[in-house]
Amino acid sequence: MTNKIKSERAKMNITQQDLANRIGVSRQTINSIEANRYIPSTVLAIKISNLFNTTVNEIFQLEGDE
Amino acid sequence: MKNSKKYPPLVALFPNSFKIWGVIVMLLAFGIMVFVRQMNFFSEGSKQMELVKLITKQSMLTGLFLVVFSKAREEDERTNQIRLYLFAAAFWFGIIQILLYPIITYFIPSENSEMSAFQLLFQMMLLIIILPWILHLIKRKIE
Repeated sequence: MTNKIKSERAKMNITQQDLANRIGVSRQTINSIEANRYIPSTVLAIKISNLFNTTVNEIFQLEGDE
Repeated sequence: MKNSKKYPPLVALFPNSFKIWGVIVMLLAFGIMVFVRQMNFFSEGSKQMELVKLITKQSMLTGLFLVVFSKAREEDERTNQIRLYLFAAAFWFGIIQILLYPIITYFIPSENSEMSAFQLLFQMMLLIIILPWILHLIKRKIE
């Protein structure tokens, strides 16, 4: 699974820490999601997409055979 | 930031500060054990020495228990998942140890042919503590 969190963050000009504070997780969690090391829960994915005023599908995409 | 209400841990956990208390209890127990042995207060095999061993072993296990079963500084769904993986890894490790220990001691004779509960719990909880560090070091080396 890939995601566009980094580019969306850059558009909004917010840091990983800012994003983490706004959705109530740790900065390490945001870092892990951005690096595709951790797949967030549905709740967290919705929170992230809501924050960027877009849909979950816009932020998170499945890769290849997934 | 404390998210324990938003992300309740999968198992009941102590507050984060208990980690420090766990380390203190462990170090104290280890220190007492070494001190008593070095000073030869009691002869090996005596009732008093067995009591000291029992108390220090139980204290070390209690210390490890406090460290393992206390919350991370920042709790969220990822820490829950990591904890779940670590517990599963420790459980696997424990089962493999129990299965292999008698076979190993059959070929390499030892005092005990069966693993004690202390040994097993100590190793399982130690694995839960050190595995994230080992994986972190491996990841850094690969990168």
